[in-house]
Amino acid sequence: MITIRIDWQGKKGLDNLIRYIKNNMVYGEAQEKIRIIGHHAADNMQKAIKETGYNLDKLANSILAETISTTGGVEVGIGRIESLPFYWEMFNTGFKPGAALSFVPIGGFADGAPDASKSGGRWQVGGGNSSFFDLNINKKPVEPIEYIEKSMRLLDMELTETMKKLGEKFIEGMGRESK
Amino acid sequence: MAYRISRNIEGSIIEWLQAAVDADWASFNIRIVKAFTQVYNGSLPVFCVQVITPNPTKLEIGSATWLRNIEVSIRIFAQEDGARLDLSDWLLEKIESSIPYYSYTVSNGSVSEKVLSGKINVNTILRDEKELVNLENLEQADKFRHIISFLCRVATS
Repeated sequence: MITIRIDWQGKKGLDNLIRYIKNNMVYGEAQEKIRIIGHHAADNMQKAIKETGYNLDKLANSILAETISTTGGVEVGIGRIESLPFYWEMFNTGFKPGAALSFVPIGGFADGAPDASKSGGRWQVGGGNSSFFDLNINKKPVEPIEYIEKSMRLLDMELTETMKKLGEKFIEGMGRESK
Repeated sequence: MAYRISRNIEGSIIEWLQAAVDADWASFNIRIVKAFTQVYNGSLPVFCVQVITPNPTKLEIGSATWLRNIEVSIRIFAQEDGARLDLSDWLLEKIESSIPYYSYTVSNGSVSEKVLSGKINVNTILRDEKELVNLENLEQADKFRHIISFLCRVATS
């Protein structure tokens, strides 16, 4: 804990100094809270992606929050486009898989991996594990996941709530100091 | 069965949009659908209307009434980029004025009664932009897409 002792002549000047310190404390708290909200937004995007029936772990795990700057405010970036798989936008908005991008739904071969020397087993959808394959199997439209929009709605709510609390704190501090 | 607010808005917007398209784009065979998968079962252009209901908030302090801001997204699937721009500009102009709000009653899967019971007012445009910028891996239907989404409220009469 840091204790600051100030000897000051004149009450008005001292009041102003105390207010300045307290406002900066609220400011610092706000910076930290907003930084955390930014990280929550990335978590919410990952969650929305993982809740779908598609195996999109690679996409979910690529969406990370980065604190870019804390000078004069706070800036949090979510998901660097160059590090995301190319289909990040397609799954967000929905699309129709075509020749260039098709995939198999999550599932597995009931008797293990297929044997190349035989006719092969039958892929069963559901359960098991599979990766995102570039195979021409499933051509059904992929409904929009809208993980960005879902996360933004939650971010709006969290930000409004936080700003309300911080505002109350700030105004409360101002009121006390101006007495 | 009487539809509630979300489906009433969906139905009202589809009906209003169909009438507007018939009046202004009669020769273009524009389809209007409400399910995303239906977009790909036919020709372009297509409008896909979807209603999303975000978390409601209380109308005011001490009130038990929910304030419902309904989010509506209208996706445009055009056959080329010029058509995408034309249709999105046209749609944006159209939603400047209020949209008639109907309360629907459905029997055996079809509408048995509809009552004009207010207006849908668009409050805030959330998005008005091209969707899917990287066209490399896309099928034709997804190459020239546009989304207009907005928040609206119903003013009942």
